[in-house]
Amino acid sequence: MKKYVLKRILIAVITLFLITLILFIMEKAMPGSPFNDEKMSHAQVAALYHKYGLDGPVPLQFFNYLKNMLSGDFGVSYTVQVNTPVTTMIMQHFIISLQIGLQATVLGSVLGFLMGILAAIKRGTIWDNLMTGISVLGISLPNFVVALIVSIIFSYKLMVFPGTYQPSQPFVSSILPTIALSTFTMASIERYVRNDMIDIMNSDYYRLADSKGIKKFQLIGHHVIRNTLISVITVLAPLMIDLLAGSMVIEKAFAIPGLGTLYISAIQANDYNVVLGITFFYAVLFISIMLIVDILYGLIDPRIRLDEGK
Amino acid sequence: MKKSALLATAIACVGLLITGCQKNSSSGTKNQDKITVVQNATVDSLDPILAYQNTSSTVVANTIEGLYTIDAHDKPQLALASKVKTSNHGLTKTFTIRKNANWSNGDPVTANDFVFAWRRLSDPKIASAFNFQPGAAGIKNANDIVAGKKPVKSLGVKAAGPKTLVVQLDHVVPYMNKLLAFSDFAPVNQKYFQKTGKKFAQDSNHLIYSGPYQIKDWKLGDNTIQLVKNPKYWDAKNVKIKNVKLDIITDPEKAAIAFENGSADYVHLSGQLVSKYRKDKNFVNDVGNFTQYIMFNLKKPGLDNADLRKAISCSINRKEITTHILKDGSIPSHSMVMKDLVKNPATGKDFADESTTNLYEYSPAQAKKYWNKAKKATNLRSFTLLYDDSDPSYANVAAYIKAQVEKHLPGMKVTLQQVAKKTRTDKMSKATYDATLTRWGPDYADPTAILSMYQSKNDSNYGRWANSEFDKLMAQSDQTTDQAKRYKLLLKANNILIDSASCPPLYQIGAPVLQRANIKDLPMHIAGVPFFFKYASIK
Repeated sequence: MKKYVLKRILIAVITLFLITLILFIMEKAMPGSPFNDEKMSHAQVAALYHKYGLDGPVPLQFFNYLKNMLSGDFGVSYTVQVNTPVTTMIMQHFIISLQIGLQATVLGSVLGFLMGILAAIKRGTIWDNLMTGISVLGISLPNFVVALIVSIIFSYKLMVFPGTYQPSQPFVSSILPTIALSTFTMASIERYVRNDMIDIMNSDYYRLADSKGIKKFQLIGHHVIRNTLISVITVLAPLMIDLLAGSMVIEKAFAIPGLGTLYISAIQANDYNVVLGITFFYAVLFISIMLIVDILYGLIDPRIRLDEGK
Repeated sequence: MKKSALLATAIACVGLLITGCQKNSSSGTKNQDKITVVQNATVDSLDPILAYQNTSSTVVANTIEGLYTIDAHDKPQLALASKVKTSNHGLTKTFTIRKNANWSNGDPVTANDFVFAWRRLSDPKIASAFNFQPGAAGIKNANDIVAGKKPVKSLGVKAAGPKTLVVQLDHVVPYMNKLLAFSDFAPVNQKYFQKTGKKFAQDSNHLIYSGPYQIKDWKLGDNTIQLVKNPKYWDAKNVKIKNVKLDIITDPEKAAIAFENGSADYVHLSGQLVSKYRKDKNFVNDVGNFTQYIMFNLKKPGLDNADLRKAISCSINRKEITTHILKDGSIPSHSMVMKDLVKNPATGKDFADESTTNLYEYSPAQAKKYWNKAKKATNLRSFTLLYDDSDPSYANVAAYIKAQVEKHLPGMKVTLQQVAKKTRTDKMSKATYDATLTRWGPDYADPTAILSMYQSKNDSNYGRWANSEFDKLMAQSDQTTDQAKRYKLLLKANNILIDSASCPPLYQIGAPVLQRANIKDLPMHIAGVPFFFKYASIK
């Protein structure tokens, strides 16, 4: 296991380096600069290039960037939040996305899991149809439509929750975005759990256990749900990255100053350091979660050997 | 079948919910001393010289007051200065700073705070986007300092005493007081600035205020800013609204919902929402601060032909663009200098209305005439029209222009190219474009805020149009102190520019808003800082 993890970390470091290098080159090759504006004179732009060290050769700029990066300095923002360190910006905005993303993950996965179990156990009944209907809606309706529906009902009609994110009420104003964001997760998990449980309940080992007279509750809890967790984790991991990274659509719909909003603003503004910093952060997040998921596979199902039995 | 029935029911529910929204909004704010204003631009910085976005300059101007403000009637009023004395043929201005003008930390506002701030503004190393403004205000040596030819300390501004600020000018600028009301001329307390270092203006704990409001619990990146009345402000007794909240909401639908449910009192509307709210008692439709126009790259062979440009201009029906495509209160433009910006000092007539009548407006017959002339002089039969994605309406306007040009100029083909705004400006600055949809908004209320960019040596002259007569008129307008004469010179320069059809104006953007009817004296200023909340009140 240790060898496997070390190997994965090494691959991750190489991946991160390549991502940074490719993005750095792409940013420089892109038309425009952070300082392109109708009203900026050539002298102003040149002065800003010099101030931020963007007037040297690109390899030297990359070397300097890497050197600073290794000491935790990802540079400052040029335009979006002028002169603010990128690390400060990422943390400041990520905290908000993280809170809403975690809430949506928990809400979506718990509801989806329970709905999936109910649909599988009550297979073929009205409950199964109801759960299926809800999950079809959850998958079919884009989350901005859900955002609009919950906004109109709870913010505009009933006025119980704010329609936009308020820093003074971080939890209350995160409820509607959480609901909008969790519907797809909930629906996806419900489908996977239901289908997986039905497959397991049709398997030979389940029938054998059932014929032994093991109590239904114990049977479901011990033999079915545990095995279903594998597929839940497989689905949940990439969904979770999306949720934690900040859904750009939902953040725009609820005016949430999260990481997704910042990323879009930075890309539109050619704010090189911010784009690089967030991409690097996303890459680290993605690689870490995937590694944790692989390790979890082994813990949940001992049949999966990460280091191929060595 | 069941699934589709469920989906249909859900869609019907959404439809019902949305149509059920169309109620008339309340005309009064809930609270008598608090308003919430929705802004669609984020705050990029609250350092006065780096605050570029409209939201940023609004916050700076309302919290760090300078020598002047602009009142609800668009007139400059002395603010931190109690009086100004003009001498040396108008080339020296001595401002006396109010005795009771203090920073929120208790320090007195001094002349040195302005000297320090304005030197920072002019410093070419800092490269503020507004560093041209001290030069535009006529402050001595400002242009040379920005160009790196003179040291920052040579700027024509000095403290003749703790409360006496002396400003020396290269030339008299009649609109100087309006310029000085802009947020970049705000004072900065040098001692405080040096103490806070890199943290200056990064959050509300690292800012001090000299204006009517101070900021509560804010950090750069937040989507909301609370302004609360500054008790140490020299004129605090006349600040009627105690709390102003600025909410940054970029989605116009969401902003309109915020207005309808009472959580916002002032929101900007997009074109799509105007028809819905046109009859609402809170609907206000003014013209906005940008003129949209086509800029031709005169370095491209063929587009340097004036007849071709005139043919293109004559083939575009501006009225159709504003009434059928935009539908947001935009009006066809008749002048490079927009309406409601400048009045004739002698007659009071609007500069835009006095602009030339030879506008190359929509006329298929004229378009045909110019096209036939142009065809003999140039082989150009196609060009690319560039536009950006910063506003969804640009794509529709560009498509309309393509259709009109190809219809009225047989044989001419227009290719549309949509790019990011930064790419468009990059192409403009490198002259690697044929024609582009672009716009310009004035930083101060004077024709030169628009016309100066067309001077042959101006970096922002992206069309590379050059006209010696135009340059001469602009130079003469800089030298004269006679306001009527200056106005005529600038009007003549504007007419030469229009007559060249190098950048045919299309329309002046509309500024439709929903504003609670009981909020008084809160106009959106067309140039400079959009809002001064000090003068606003709730009736």
